[in-house]
Parts: sequence; C-alpha cells; structure tokens
Amino acid sequence: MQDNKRMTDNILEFIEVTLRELSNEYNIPKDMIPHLIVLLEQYPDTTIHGKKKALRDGLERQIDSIKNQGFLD
Amino acid sequence: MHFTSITITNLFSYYHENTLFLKENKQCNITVIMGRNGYGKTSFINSIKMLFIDTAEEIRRTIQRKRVPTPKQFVMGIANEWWGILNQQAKQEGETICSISASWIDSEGYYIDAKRTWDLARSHESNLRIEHSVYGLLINDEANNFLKNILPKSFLPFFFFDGEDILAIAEANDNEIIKKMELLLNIRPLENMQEALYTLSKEWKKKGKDYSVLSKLIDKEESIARQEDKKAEYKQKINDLSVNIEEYKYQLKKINRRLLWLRDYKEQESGINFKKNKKKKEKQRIEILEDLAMNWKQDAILAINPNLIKKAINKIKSISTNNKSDISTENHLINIFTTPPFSQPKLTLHQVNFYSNRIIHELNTIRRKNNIEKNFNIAILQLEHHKNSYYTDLLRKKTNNAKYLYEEIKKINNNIKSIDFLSKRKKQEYLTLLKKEDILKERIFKLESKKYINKKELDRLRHSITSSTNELRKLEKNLHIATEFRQQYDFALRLKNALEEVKKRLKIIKRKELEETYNKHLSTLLDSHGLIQKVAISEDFEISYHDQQGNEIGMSTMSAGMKQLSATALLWALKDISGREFPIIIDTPMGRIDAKHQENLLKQYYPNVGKQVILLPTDSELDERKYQLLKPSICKLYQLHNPTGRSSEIKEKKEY
Repeated sequence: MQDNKRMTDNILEFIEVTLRELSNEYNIPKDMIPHLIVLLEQYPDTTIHGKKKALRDGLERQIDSIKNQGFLD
Repeated sequence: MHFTSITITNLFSYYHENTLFLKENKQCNITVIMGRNGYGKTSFINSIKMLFIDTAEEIRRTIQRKRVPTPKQFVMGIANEWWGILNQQAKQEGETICSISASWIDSEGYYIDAKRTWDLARSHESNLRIEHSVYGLLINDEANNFLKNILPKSFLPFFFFDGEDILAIAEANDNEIIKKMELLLNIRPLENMQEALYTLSKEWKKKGKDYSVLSKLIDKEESIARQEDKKAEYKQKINDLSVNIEEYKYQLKKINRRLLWLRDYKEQESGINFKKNKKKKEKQRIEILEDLAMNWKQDAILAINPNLIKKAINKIKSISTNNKSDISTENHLINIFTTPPFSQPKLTLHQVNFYSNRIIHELNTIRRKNNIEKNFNIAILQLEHHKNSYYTDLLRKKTNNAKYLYEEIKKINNNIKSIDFLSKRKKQEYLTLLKKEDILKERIFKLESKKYINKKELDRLRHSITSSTNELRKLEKNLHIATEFRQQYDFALRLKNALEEVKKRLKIIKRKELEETYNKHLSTLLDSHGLIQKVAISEDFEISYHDQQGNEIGMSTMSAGMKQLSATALLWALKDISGREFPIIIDTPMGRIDAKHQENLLKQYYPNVGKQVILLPTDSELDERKYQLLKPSICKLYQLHNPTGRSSEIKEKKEY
C-alpha cells in the first residue's frame, strides 16, 4: 500500500502535469506551475488557523512575480 | 504513521496511568483491546481523539445530551449530568491533572511524542506538548497546528470511529461528509486555491476600476484637444484684432498730429486749455448724472418737467370730459335700434329690447372696470403734487446743471475743432482728416468690441480646459490602477478556471477509482441476498445504491447492519484511494453485523485495511471462534478491566 506522502505526491504530480497541458489554453506561464504545486502541498487544509491567509498571500506573491516579469502583458 | 505507545492518565474511566505498547510488525497489524460494556472502550477511543482535536465539537457531541456542552462544561462537568473528563476516582482523591499521550513513527521514520494535559485546578484549557525528533519541542498553538497538519479534524471520522456510528457515512450525501471526502482525496486543496484566487480577484477588481474609465479618458482627451484648437483660433483672432487695432490707432495718432498741426501754435495752446477745461466739465457732469441716477424715481421724468405735467393734467381733464360726452354716445348706442336707419327685415320689439339691454349691461361693466373719473382725479392729484414738491425742485436743478455742462462741453469741442482761421485748402484737408478720424474711431471701437468678446470666450475656454485637464488627471490615475490590476484580475480568473478543469479531471479519476474500489470492497464484505448489486458515485460524490435491475435502493430500505457494512467498505475504499496511512481505531467493530458478514470483516477487512488497526470489541463481538479467524493478524491482545466503573485498566493478554 502506498504511504501518505507518495499518494499525495502522485496527486500533486497529476495536478502539475494537467496544469502544464492546460497552460497554453489558459495562458498560464509554465514557470509558475511548480510554485503553485508547492502552495498546494503547503496548505492542503485552510481550516487551520492562518493557512487561508498564507495561501492567499502566497498566490498573490506568485502572481505579482509573473506580472513583474512581464508574463501578463 | 504507526503508534508505538498510548498512555491515558486519569482521563474518563481510566484511573492513574495506563499504557499500551504497540510494536510495528509487518506480519500482523491488529491490536485487540477487548472489554465489556462500560469498561473503557469508548473512553479509550475518545481519549485518542482528544489528543488530536482537544474538545472540538465532534468529541463533545458524543455526550448523550440534548444540547452540546461547551468546552468548559465538557472538561469540568455539568452538575449531575456529566462528570467531566477527569476520572472520578482520581477526583475523589484530590487529583486535578489528567492527560493523554501517544508516541508514533511517521511515514518518514521520525519519532514523535505528543502529550495533552489538563490541569482542572487552573483551567479547562489543555496544554499540548510535542517532541519531534527533527523539529524539536513544539508547544500549544505550534503543536496544535502540527497535529492538524498530520491528521486534520475532518479526517477523524474516517480513521477513528465507532462501528455503529458510521452509518451516516454510508449515506454520504451530506455536504460536510462530501467535503471531507474531497479533502481526503486531495481534491479540496484545489478548491482552497480557487477560493483564494477568487478572493484575490475580488480585491483586484475593487482596486481596479472598470473599462468605462478608459473610454471616458479618451473622450476627455479629445474634448481637451478640440478646446485647445478653439483656444488657438481665438488667440489668433485676438492677435489679428490687436494688430489691426494698433494699426488703426497708429493711423489715428498720425491724423491727430496732423489735425493739431493744421491749427497754428496759438490755437494749439488753446486746444490744450480747452481740453483741460473740457475734462473738468465732463467730470462734473458725470458726478451729477451719477447723483441723479441714485435719486431717480420712476416718475422723475414727470417731476422734472413742469410743462409735461401741465400737458398731462390737461390731457387727463380732456379725457375725463370726453368721457362725459361718451355718455351721450352710450345713449346713442342704446337708442340705435329705435332710430333710423332700420335693418331689413326690421327687428321685433323683443329683439330690440334684448340687444338694448345687452348694450347697457356691457357699458355699465366697462364703466365699472375703468372707473375713469376716479382714476383721473387721482392722477391729477399726484401730478399737482409733483409741481410743488422739494424733490421735484432738486431733480430739476440737477438736470439743469447736467444740461448746462453738456452745452459747455459741446462748445469746447466746437472750439477745439474750429477751423475758421484755416485756408481753403487746409480746411478741406482738415475736414477730410476729421472724417477719417471718425471712421478710424468707429473701426477701433468695433474691433475693440470684437476683441473683448473673443477675450471673454478665450477666458471661458481656458477655464474649461483647466477643469477638463483636472478631470483627465483623475481619470488617468484611475486608469493606471485599472490597467495595473486588470492584468492580475484576468490572470486570477484564468488560473481559477484552469484549476476547475484540473479538479474536474481529478474528480473523474478519483470518482472512478473510488467507485471501483468501493464496489470491490463491498462485494468482499457483503455477500448476502445481493440486495445491493452496485454502488454508484456521482460527479459530486453523492452515493447511491442499486439493485440487480439497476433501480436505486433507498437508504431506508437498507438495514442498519447493511449500512454499517457499506460504510465500512466506503471507508476502506477512501483509505485506499487517498493513500493516507493512519492507524485505524474502531470501537464496537461488529455490533450490528451478522455472523457471516462478521467473518468477512475478520478475514478480509481488518487484516488489510491498514498498517495498524486497533479494535475495541466486546467479548461477545469477538468470541473465541472469531478470535481464531483474526489471530494471524493480531499483534497484541489486551483486556480492559473496570469492575467499579471508575478505574479502567488495560492488561495485556497472551491468549484469548
């Protein structure tokens, strides 16, 4: 039986692969995808105090970063 | 994750310290803690739950009571209804401290010791302490967050449960259950990210204005450009006018010089004196006229002109007299029907009387309206008054002065312009120049008027441009914000939609996997009359049961035992699909299950559902025969003792 971490990793792998497939269609910079996966891994449960805000802040930083790099032009 | 030891101290039915040692063993995964009703099985599982979730509502609900107690009530007790969490024996002996601790090895091989303690003498709130072989010491909030990360509260029902209480999971159409399932299957994190993106996009949208600002900005810029063009036009016009005016003034100056020269020196000197005198008298005249204007009343024109008053009085009197003669006219009118000439055919007497009366009536009406005689008398009186009043004298005096000054100024002008002494030729030239002077003056006056109008218009435009420019700046500022946040807003929405697609695909896969696994496990556990042929899981993870014909089976149709088996199969499938490895603790594992199905559980489920399974059966649930079925998978066997009901003890047993 696969342990917790390996199955989670598989799901995250699935999400990463799928996002890459969809990146052209939805105009998402491929470089951003690994960072999104990290956020998903770090904040799976936002019912824990402080995690919701942390996830939101993390996303905001990522989006600001790609904007500053000109990916949103 | 694998528990290596569990220690319960003075908590619920457990008196003093009670420790369970659990070794990891690849050959066997089951620990059995047997006990009769009231010996501490439920206390055991609740203690483990409290280690992870403290006094969360899920644990407080376990008290059989109308209203869920508050955390304080749960810990400290409620009069005679509920003793609280402190063991009664310990309480009687004056103890105030109770605790639950566990040691385990996580999936990465790290050792963790966790202990939650309550000191009821101080407070109902617990202290949590975790020692991690890598992270070191964690306490309270940090420690609580650590535990939440390992085993979220929402996962508890899937891993620590009462066999009979899991019936609700079998229905699994409750939104809360579905959410928990999605969390277990790692679908929920995607939704969390989508929610975060939605929150961010709302914030950006709020900061950024909408696209209408851009169109307003363009309109404003165009408007300002048009006004600037117009402004330039007016400036040019004013400039042209100024040039022309200057030209005319120059010509006028030349003419004036020539006119002066045409008079001899002596006359020029006189001219200067005349001009001085003229200026003085003009000033005086202006003062008088201003004074008159201040004191002018509506009837002043009459007051200052006695001849006019006289004429007015005479006229009024004559009208008044004529009015009397009007009476004969009236009589004539009235008798007009009785004196020739007559109409053909002649009017009847009745008609004559009718029209005569009408005429009389109309004349009377007119007379009443006008009341001419009375009004004339009043007017005459007012006018007579003006003839004799001081006000009239003063006005008359001032106007006479103004008139006198006017005549004097006129004379001076004439003297200035006098050319009698000039030769014929020079006189001709002088007159020609005078004409030119007038023409030029008129032209200058017209141009000055035009210039004034254009200047007013220019000022208006300047003001308008300034105002429009200020508005433009504001719009530009807003647009800057709009553009800046618009990109992020659009991206957040795109990403949210992309995640929705990912979620959809993940759900499809997970749903399919879960459905397959669920059906597989259910057929393993349930082999009775085959009421349930198939379980279907919808896109939204709603569960429905179907018979052999494909008809949906209502939950009410299913027995409690079947529901328990279905729930067990579902939990098994969820655990498989999620890949999460936690110990499974089941209280009263086989309560409502018939013997044959119990066998299925014993042979198929417990040995395979997880790396560590702790069962808390009653001795009737796990008799010797069933024990033998389970024995190959049993690592350790414990027996609970609690004859007084207040002091559970856990004792290891070698054999059943």
